[in-house]
Amino acid sequence: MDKIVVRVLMIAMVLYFLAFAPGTVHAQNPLQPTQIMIGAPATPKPGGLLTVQAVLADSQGHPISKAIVYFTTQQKFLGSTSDVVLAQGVTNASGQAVVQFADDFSGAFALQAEFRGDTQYAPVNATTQVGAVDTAQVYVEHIGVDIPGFNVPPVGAPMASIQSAQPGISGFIQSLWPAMNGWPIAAVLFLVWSMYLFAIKFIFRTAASESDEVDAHSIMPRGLV
Amino acid sequence: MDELNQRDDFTGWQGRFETRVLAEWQARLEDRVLAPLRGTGWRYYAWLGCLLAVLSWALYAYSQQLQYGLIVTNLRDRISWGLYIASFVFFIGISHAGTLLSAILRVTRARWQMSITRMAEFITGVALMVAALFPAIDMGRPDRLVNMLIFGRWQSPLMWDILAIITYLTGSLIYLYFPLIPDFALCRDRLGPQAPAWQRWLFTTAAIGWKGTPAQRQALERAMSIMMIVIIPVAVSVHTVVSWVFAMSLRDPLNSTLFGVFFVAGAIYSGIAAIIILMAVLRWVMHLEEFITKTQFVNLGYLLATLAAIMGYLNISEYVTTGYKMEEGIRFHIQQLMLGPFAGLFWFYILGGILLPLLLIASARTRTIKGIIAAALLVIVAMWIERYLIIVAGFRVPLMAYPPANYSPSWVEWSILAGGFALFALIISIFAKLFPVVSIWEVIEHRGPEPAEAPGSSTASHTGPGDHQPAATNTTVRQTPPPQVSVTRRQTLQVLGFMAVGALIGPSLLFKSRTKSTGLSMQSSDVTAGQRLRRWAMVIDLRNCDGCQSVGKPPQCTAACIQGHFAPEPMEWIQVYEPSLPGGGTQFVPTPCQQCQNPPCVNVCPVGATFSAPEGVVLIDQQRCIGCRLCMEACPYDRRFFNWGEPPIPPEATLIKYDVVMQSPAIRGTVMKCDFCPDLAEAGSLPYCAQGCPNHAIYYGDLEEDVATNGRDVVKLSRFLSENSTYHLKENLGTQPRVYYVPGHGELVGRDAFATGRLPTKWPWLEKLKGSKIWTR
Repeated sequence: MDKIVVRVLMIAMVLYFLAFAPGTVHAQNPLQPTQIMIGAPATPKPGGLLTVQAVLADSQGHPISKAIVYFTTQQKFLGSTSDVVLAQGVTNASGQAVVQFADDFSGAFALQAEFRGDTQYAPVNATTQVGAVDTAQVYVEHIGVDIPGFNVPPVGAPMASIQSAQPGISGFIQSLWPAMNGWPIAAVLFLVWSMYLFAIKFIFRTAASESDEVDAHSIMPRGLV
Repeated sequence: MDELNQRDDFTGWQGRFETRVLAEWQARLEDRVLAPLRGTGWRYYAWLGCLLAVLSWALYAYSQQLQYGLIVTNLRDRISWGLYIASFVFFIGISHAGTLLSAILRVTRARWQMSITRMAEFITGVALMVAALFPAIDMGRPDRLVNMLIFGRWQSPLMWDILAIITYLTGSLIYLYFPLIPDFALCRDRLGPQAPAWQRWLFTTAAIGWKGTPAQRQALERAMSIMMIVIIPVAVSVHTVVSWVFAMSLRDPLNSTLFGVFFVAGAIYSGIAAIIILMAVLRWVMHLEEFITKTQFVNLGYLLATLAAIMGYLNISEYVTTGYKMEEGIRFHIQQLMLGPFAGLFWFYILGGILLPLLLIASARTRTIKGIIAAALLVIVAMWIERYLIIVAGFRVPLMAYPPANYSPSWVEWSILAGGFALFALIISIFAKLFPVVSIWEVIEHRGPEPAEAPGSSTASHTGPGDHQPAATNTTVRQTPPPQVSVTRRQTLQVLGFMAVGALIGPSLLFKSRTKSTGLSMQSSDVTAGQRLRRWAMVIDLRNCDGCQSVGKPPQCTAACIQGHFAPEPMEWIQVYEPSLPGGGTQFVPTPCQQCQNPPCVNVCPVGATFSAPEGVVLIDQQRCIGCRLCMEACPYDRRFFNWGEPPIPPEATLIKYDVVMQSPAIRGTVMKCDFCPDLAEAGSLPYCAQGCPNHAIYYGDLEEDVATNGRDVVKLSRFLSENSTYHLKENLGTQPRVYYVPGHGELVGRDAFATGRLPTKWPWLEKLKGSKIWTR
């Protein structure tokens, strides 16, 4: 009898701890199912701002407002792969979240709109394909002030694999640019050296022309000759 | 009538007396000045022997430097310029004395200077030649000097320097030669048939048929006028440009707009002192006391005092303005100058080099020849010290969180410096032996004998400053009016027009051909068809960096980099500094090359050996590098390393085929640095440092595709930068680095900020290349 009582008490204690101990998961109401739709231009201009939107609603089609929607993509880079958050937005009264982000991708990518759920609504996501292959450079750097003839790009060591000439007239003009590189300094030097030559030529020519016509009497026995 | 006759007789007698005194004075002048050309005593050869002995010793020292590299000097990465460059600046400075001073005095028609202009012009030519040697001696790869011609870049201050020096040297030699022509003719006629054949040939050729006709005189005067006008701005430009080699850098003590003025004033100051000393020596050796009198010394003394006052003013202006603000680097600099290791030299420069000379000349008691020579000697020594302080003390200011380096020149450096001075004296001595050291014809025309020393001779007063007629008026000379020189205004305009057209077209033709010959493209942002270029960047998350304390090893980023690149000891291309935090404790800051988008190092490279690759990575072509180390001076992050000796690398490193993106094997006498491993990234791998980091603190990314990874996580780069408050090192400099930092002190990997210290870096190879040596930074 005692054994039975002890067993009952032990079971009761276990049940008590399971029910009321800290961290115990209580039974909850089931989360409401949700649905999400994603909208994005299929072929946006690479490098430009990409505007995408998602609409979040419950199973009845009622919009869910003030919910955070993440726009992510799975990205691979140098051997690693992760889900990368591109932007995040909050849904408005219509359940719509609109975000903008720069499309820096070199080709098409899978864009996912993701609602991570909350205490009332279940998580949901939707995916769409976005983007087009484009070779135009996106990242632009321009530092300092252009001073013609001075701060042009330096003559670099050979990087033949990544350097190539532009075709057409623009390429021709670019090919001329190194020739004009440093022209202000060259112009000053040219002027100074021309003055040197001018002075030298002047004295040599005069000395030569006078040497045959010299009056012997003008030569002094001492002093200047 | 008798009275009139008596007066005529007296006037005639006086005229004859004056003519005779003048003729005797001229004869003495010629005899004294031409004496070295007529004969040579044993003392001269003994003097030359001494100079040659010093020069030979210097050549031996330089041969050691050529054999073992610059490791035989005490220059190292953090004070990478020293005695050689200080001496270069010094010699360039004293070169100013000559031509510039001579030109200014000629333009202002100062009569007293005629007997010293030749010496001044000698100093210019010789000092410039000696000065030009020092940068070449300082180069790690003097065998590649020709690269300056092949790959020379206009953007480099060193190239401006070379062009300015060559232009000034050429102008100075022309300016030296013009007034020598009448003296060459005099030598030709005076030395006679007993002179050696080579001497006769030399003077006959150099005199270019000079016979002293009025037309020739006028031509000479005009040619000299052109040169004396042109040479003044050229001379000023030379030392201004020399100062820019330093002032264009981002180092606190050198980053000054006052440098150009400072250098020019200092150059004239030291130059005048050099003239006084040379004048005193030649006066004593050649017994020219009659022709170089106290007048010259005192007048030059006044100039010296004026320049001393200007130098004093500039020093006050410089140190008061910078010292008042006390920026971090400046505070260190002023403390080390005034109270620290350079205090002795600095106060000697200020008190002994500026104040004392000023007092010596200001006081009538000491304004004697000896007093002025003493002042000049003080100035020369002080100005050399000033050059030394600018460079050595300027470089000693730490650029990053490291203890300040120290430098004392080695025996090789002192020997070569002594050789420089010996060479200077040797060339001056040979010049003095070959050519008249005093411009005889100008002294006669402009000056005549000193009244005090030739009483009764009043002829000198007849010749005003602008009077170019001979003072010794021989009755046989026919005074013909000077004919018009055969250069008309039209011809002058033609020449000027030609020069203008040439200035516009010439450079295009010249440099187009050069570019063709190198076959290089200037396009830095080209895109290979069908492919977007990467724009590599790095983010270092300091929250995750504990200096590898947790793994109990030296920083693994550094270790991996050394192993991957065979980086010679003591090069840490990515160095983990440990600066203090504001509230105490420290943080660890791995510091690779910052790969600036506005790279100061690339701007200054004279040969394009360091360049920005289209992907934004700053690379070095060690096969083109001349080892001038201007890039090391320019880098504000102390991220460039020089191979001072034979690099201590493992033998297997020599098997690698050299490539710009690999930088291996290391080459003696060239600069190396972190290259961002673009070769690894192209192959789809992280750089060595990121691979080695146990805490994944280093992200490597592409700004073009806006993505980065640390080998574990991939992040959108722009968002990562924004959300983590990243910063650049020394952002205020505007270098636009491609290395970003997330602030922190290793807190995400459990490091306490007060747990300081890290293990020292070790180079793993057991066996090093034969003949290699290890140096310290």
